[in-house]
Amino acid sequence: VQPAISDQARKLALEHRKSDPELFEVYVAPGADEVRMVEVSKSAYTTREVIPFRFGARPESELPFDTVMVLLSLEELQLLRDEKLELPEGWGEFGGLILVYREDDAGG
Amino acid sequence: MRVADPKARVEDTLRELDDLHERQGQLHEKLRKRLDPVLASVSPPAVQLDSDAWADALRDAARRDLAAAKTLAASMDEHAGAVAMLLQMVFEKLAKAYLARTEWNAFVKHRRSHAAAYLFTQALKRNRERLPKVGASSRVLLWVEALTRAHPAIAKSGPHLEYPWEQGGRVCSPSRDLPIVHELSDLQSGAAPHLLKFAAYFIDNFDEVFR
Repeated sequence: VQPAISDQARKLALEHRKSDPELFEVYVAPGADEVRMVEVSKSAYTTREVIPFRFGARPESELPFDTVMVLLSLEELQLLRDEKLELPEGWGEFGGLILVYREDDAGG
Repeated sequence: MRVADPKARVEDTLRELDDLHERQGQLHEKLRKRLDPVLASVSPPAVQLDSDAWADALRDAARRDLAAAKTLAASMDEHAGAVAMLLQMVFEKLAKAYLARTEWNAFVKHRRSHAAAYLFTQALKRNRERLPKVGASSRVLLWVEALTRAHPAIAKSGPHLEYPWEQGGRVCSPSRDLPIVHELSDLQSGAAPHLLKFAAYFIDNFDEVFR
């Protein structure tokens, strides 16, 4: 993962924690010129669906890359680890994800 | 009668195996005939048209649902539950229109999902600043979240908009016991006008949202 992509992902994770204090972990999928974030939240409902939503780059806000995010519950995180759920097409497997935030980072 | 000749015994066993294979094939075919219609019912037909065509069609459908919601909202107290369901449908269609426009492969895979609106609202809540043209305040998004959560696919056995549920020794109903329906019928909360206005703004400015 390019450092700039990890930086944007971590910046977004810290921002998202403000609207979701139960944010648990955030991962990034490598291999793309965009931020592919997997957000795991204790507040998320389990749907067993991994649907990516894209948000455009905002260079003026120091977010130069498009962001594509999926939201998972803790149960869905486990299903992903157990290969009973799949990441979106082209994102690879759970083992290839890079952890950029966990709730212990709450101090920022 | 026991067959003593080893060659005859082998031939008998091979015949039995052939019979077994034949019966296995028949069973396989029988199961396939039963399962094919089930598979066909859960697999939507292949998508032939492009993302713009789908996004436009979904946005138009959302516009029609919203028109019905506005009409019913005029007699809010009586029809708050129906207004809530229509708004829920509006946001589901908008979420899928957004998905069709921005993540085509995911749309093709999840176009029949009932979780898309809930997941889109969660993503929107976290990225509100990155879609300034959507015009979503955090207050409005809390109402949208409550609506999209009140779907059987998300709430599961918990309270939702479609059916009554048991709680505290009685049968509860969406129109009487679901907080989001109360808020929609409560003039002081402002939920109904804000949600109707937000949905209309999103539909009208849909193409601008991505610029």
